[in-house]
Order: sequence, then structure tokens, then C-alpha cells
Amino acid sequence: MLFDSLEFLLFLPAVILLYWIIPHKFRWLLLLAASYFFYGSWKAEFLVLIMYSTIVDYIAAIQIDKAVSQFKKKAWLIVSLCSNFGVLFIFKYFNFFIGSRSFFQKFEGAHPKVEWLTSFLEYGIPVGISFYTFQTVAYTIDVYQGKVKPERNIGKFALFVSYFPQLVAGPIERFSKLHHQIFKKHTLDYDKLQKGFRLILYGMFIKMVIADNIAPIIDPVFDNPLLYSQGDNTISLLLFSIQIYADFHGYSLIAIGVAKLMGVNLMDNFRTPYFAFSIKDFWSRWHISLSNWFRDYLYIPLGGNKVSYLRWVANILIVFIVSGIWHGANFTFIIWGAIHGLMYLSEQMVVRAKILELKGAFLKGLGFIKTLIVINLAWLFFRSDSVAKAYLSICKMFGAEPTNETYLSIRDVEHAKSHEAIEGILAGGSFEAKTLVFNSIYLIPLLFLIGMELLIQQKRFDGVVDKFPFWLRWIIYGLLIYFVMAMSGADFYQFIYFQF
Amino acid sequence: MDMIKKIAPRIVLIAIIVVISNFIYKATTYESDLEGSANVLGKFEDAESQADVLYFSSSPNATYSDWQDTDYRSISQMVDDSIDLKVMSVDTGAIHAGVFKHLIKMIPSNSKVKKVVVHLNYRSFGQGWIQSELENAIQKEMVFYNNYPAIVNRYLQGLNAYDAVSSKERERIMLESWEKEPLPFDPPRNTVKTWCAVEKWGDWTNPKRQLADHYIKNFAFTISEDNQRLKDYDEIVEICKKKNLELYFVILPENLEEGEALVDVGLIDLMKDNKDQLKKRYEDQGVTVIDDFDLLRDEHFLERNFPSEHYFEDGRKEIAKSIIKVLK
Repeated sequence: MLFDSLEFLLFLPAVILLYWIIPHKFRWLLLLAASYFFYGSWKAEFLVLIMYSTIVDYIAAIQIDKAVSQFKKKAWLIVSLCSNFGVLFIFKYFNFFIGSRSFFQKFEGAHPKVEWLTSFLEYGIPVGISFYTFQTVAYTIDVYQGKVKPERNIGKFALFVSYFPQLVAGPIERFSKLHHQIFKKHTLDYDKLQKGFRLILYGMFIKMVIADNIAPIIDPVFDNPLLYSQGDNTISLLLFSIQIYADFHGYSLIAIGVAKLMGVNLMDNFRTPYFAFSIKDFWSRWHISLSNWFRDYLYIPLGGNKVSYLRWVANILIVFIVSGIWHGANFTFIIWGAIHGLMYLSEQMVVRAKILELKGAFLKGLGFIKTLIVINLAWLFFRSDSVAKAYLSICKMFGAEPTNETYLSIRDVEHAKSHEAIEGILAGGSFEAKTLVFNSIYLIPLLFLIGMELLIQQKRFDGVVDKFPFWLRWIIYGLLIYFVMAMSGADFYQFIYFQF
Repeated sequence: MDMIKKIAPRIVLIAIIVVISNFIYKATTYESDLEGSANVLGKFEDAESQADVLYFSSSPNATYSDWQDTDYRSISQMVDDSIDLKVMSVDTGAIHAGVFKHLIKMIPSNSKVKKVVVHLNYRSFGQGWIQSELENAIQKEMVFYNNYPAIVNRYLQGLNAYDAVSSKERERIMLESWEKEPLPFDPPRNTVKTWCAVEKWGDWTNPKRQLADHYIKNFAFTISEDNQRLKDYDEIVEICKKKNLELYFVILPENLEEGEALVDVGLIDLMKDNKDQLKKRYEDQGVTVIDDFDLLRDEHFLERNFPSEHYFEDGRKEIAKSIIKVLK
């Protein structure tokens, strides 16, 4: 059940209404049932996985808390980590490491029992697995470090793991921040509802109107960059950077808005990241909950910056590359992470050596342009199905002629799927050039978004419109309602971050 | 109480915004949305207001050969020219009974339409068509046939409130049915997949092999009670009964000669069995079934590299004749 679906539009009011009607002591049970229903609506079988994670971490956390010896505590922590990352590995990365399911197909004739493995791997990545796995891993580490006490009620712990507003796409919350809010006795007040609905409306606008309309325009370009001109390839990349921001930020805003309707404050996940002046600045504004997770549970345990210079360089690269891998089992994500890591390091080297400080409008402007270019080029790898296709896009964008040899050698190294049409063109076959087609009417909501983002800067939509007079607020609501109802993308596109 | 005082006027404001939005939408982008995704609706509205007989079809009705035909009229036009009743077609490429049923539902009770002719395309019962790449677009289009204000229908499209299945999932369902759905033959012809693997025409580079595979994939299936197309036609029967409309199903001709030459007589027997089953099912329900299944010869069919129901002028005339005979 996607947030931007009819099912959710029926599900949400029912849950919210019941939530405020029933006595407080039953509310968590309602939310647990609603969360399991919400998650099971994708595939009921996925519930088994989330239950498994819940049970393992519930037991591990209690055992860690109970254990007297450090050895025992560590042993239970390892059990939790192995179990969580093991599940993630099997469902998300196994194909990548064995070089796809065809590895097993080779044995099907000789070993018929292998068949169950191939069908198992065909099952697909369970929705949101990376999000709730990271949330539960953070919980057991926090218990191990004595930062939080474990939850003794398995039902309540299950709700913390499966809390539906942020279950499938974050923000990745900490136990210390989310748990007590879910179980606190909230009272219904107009302010909560108003802010919640504002965020849901604005989130729907940027997800459904901006992101969902861009997807069908640019997908064919990334599928076969050779068919499109230099300009079309470049525009597609710029549009993709808007799409991914709108897709993920929109979804996060809806999540925050939905939680707000029940009195729960989820953390902000985005703060106008494309206005960043540096890569460091970008990562303090983009997918903030994930950046914080990597900082607290990977970068700092690796020693952070309190180590030798070379070790620090290695730590930074490790964090960015792992962040890339978190997004998916593909070399494209590794390169995406590495680009960010290397740019981050180069910026920090300049800062450390006191060569340049980003002060003054001119230098900040240059920093902004440089960051935007780097981020966009990195998105190219993020969006491309394979490094070989990214190579073609780069060649097209910079006016170079891609060669069949280079393409095939990259494709072979990364074991990417062959693409008949691309290979035919590279081998000298004829083709019909295509042009990017879009309806200019959709520039109106896009300009509206840019205007709003300029107003919002590092704040949030609900807070910004709060300061507007009543009439202006309602003009904005009116426009948003019109855009959402009359101009949403009508084609079926899943939320990009579900695959992560 | 305080809360209701605050919320109630805002709900009224939202309702006003929606009404104004509907007005603006209809005056601006509605027409282009219809052209883009629901062009058959316009045809329906136009035909329904004028015709005595509504003729529901996809491309077989109007496809012609511009190099061989001299008469480019569609089947429905030929029928219209030959009987006293006004016959108008509601057709566009690739649509099927799932769309027709929604349109027939929209015929108002005071309409002058008294007869409804619907093409019954055998191929549309197979998974190859049911899970076609075009299906999402068709499902999306059907959202506009809901009896809601235009902007609500458009919003439902945005919410993907239709049978939206990713093309990857559709392909998976189709391949699974070809792999697992049993056919009433001995191996290797007991599934589509294994049947296709029988190399009667050599390897894949041979166009005859490719065409034979298309025939097996498109025509070799059994029709179970949960077949979506069967449910669609059943619903059409129900709707017509309720609306007191005379219903005619035209079973479209298939190129049985070529099918037999490329695959074998077993395929043709299977197709005929399925067709007979459909014919009996709907005749038992009081529908007039015009059985043109084996009406035409190989030379009447337009396409040579894919099995289709597109006919040359002579073929269209033959079908029209069979319909005229019944409608007169």
C-alpha cells in the first residue's frame, strides 16, 4: 500500500479516526494491527521477515541488558547484527555476489533441488528491509552501549519496529526518540491535525505531481542513451535529480505528516539539499536520518576523525561506499558513493589546508554550482542500470563517441545484462533517433516547487506557511489541491526508494 | 465542539476548491487528457447519442490495407450501409471486453440504442493479451469511465486506482502461465513453453519458427472460470440483460490455415474446442452468437509476421455479411 494510493487514502482516515476515538491503552494495539496490515498489503509473506527481526532483536536486547559479563553482551550483540545483516544480505545482496540467479540455473538439470533456491531468489527484495533493519540494529547497539533500556513487551517492541508511517522508507528513527512518543498519551488538538495535513498535501504534491510526471519522460533516455541527443541526455539527468528528490522528500513528508496526525514528531529527512554549498553541507541536508545513522554506527565506531590522517581518509571512503551499497547491490551505487566520498575528502583537504574558505556570496555561489554539478554527475551512476550504460550517457552528454569495445569490456567486468538495441547500434546498426517529449504545462507546478523551496530554505513547509496570512495560505492550499488532483502522474511508478 | 467549529468551515472551503478545480480542469487540460488516455470515451459519447446499434470492437473493425483494398470501409460501416438501423462503432486499437463492459454500463436507460454488437476475439482470452504491455494504459483509461466528476477521475488516475501491475510483474505472470498452465496434450505439447521448444522450423533465426511460436503463445490455452476475459464477457451479458439491450457477439475469424501449416492440427482442434465452449456458454445465456471463427481463408488476413485479426477488404465484407444477415 503506497502512500499515494487509493487504498491508503481509505486506510489512513480509518486508522486516525479510530486512534482518537478509542481509549489510550488500546491505541498501541490498533497501531500494531494497522502497521502489520499496511506492511502485509505488499506481500503477506514479508511479515514473516519483520516478525523474525522483531523476535531476534527483542530477545537479543533483553539478553544484552541482563548479561553481566561483557563477553555475553558482545555475543548477543553479534547474534543480533548477524541476524539482521544476514537477512539483508540474503534478500538484497546475494544475487550480486553470486552474479545473478543464473548461477543456480546452471545446476538445475543436474541438481533439481536447486530449483527452490532460484524461486526463492526471484521473490524480490522485501519492501523497506534496509530501513527497518537499520532501525533495529541501532536499537540493539544502543542497548549494548547502555543508551536505552530494552522494551520488555514484545508487542510494543513490534510496534516500534513496524510503525507504519516510517516503516518502508524512513525516516530511520532511534528508539530513544520514537518509542516514548508512540506510547505517550496524546491529546487531540487542531494544531497537530493542521500541520499533519499540510505536510501530507505538500508531500503528495511533490511526489505525485513532480516526481511521477518526470519518470515517464526520462526513463526511455536512461534505457537507451544512444537514441537521444546530447541536450536530451543532459536535461534527463537534471530532471532525474529533481525526480529523486521529489520522490523521496515527498514520501518522507507524507510519513512525517501522517505521524503528526497522531501526535508523533518524526525527524526531518531533507532540508533543501540542492542549495548546499559543499558535499559535506549536502549530506547534512539529504536523507538526514541515514547520514546520522552512518555517522553514529559506522563512522564513529571506526574512529571518526580521532585517528591518523590516512585512517580518517579510509574511514570517510568506507562510510560513503557502504552508503552506496546500502542503496543497492550494483557497481553503480558503489561508484556513486565513491564519488561523494572523494569529493568530500577533496573539500576537507582544502579546508584543512586553509587554502579556501567558503565566505562571501561569490565563493558560496561557486561552491553551490560545483556541488550541484558533482551531485548531478554522481546521480548519473545512481540512475543508470549499469556502469556500461552510465558510460554511454557520459559520452553522449560530453559529445564524445562511445566505442563498442569499451562498452562491452565494462559490461563484462560488471556482469551487466546485455541490451540488444544498444549493442546493435554500437555495432554499427541503424537506428531511429528520438527526442525528449514533455508537456510544457507541467512547468507550472515545477516552477511552483522551486519557488516554495526558495521560501522554505532550511525550514519546513508547515512552519513556513504558518506565518502566511489566512488568505495566502489558502491560495497555496488551493493550488496544491488543484495540482494534486488534476496534474498527478497517472502512470504506475513505484516509489524509487522502495527498492532500497 | 471547538474542534468541529474549526474544522467544518475548512472542509467547506476544500469542497469549494474542488468544485472550482473541476471547473478549471474541464476548461483546460481535460480534453487533452481524454485524447491522451481515453479517446474511445469521446467516440462512445458521440455514437451513443445517435445510433440504434452500438458496435464495440478494437482494431479488427477498421484496419485496412492501403495498397490492396479499394473499399476502405470498416466492418461496422458496411453493416450500417446495408441495414435500416443506424450502426456506429466504438473502437480503438488494443481495447477489449474489459473496456466494452464499462462503456456499455454507461448507456443511459433512455438511450435510443437497442442493440449492441460486440466483437469476441478468441486471442483476447490468452495470457499473452491479458498481460499485454498495453494493459496498464487500458486500465488507466478506464478510470475516466467512472461516473464521477472529471477531476475526481483524474485524481483516481494519479492514485493509480486501477489494476496497475508493473510490466515486470505482468511478464512474470505471462511466463508462468506459459510454463505451468497444462494443455490437453501429451508432452512436449502439454505446456506452451515446452511446445514452443519443439523445433519444427529449425532455430530462432527462421521467421517461420518465430511465427509458429507466436501462434502457440497466442492461441494455445484453456479457458478456466477465472479467466479475466471470460468474466468481462459474462459481465457484458449481465449488463445488457439489466438494460434490456439485444446483445450480439461476433466471434472473429482466426487464420486457422496458417496456424495448422505452421504448428499442427492439434492447435486448431484446441482453438475450435475453446471457441465451441464459448459459443455454447453465451448461447445458453440468450446471446445471439455470430460464429465467424473459420469464415476466412489465409489470403484474407493482412499481417504476415504476427497472428492478428486484421482483414483485407474481402474479409471485412464477409464478416459484415454475416452480421447483416442476423441484424436485418
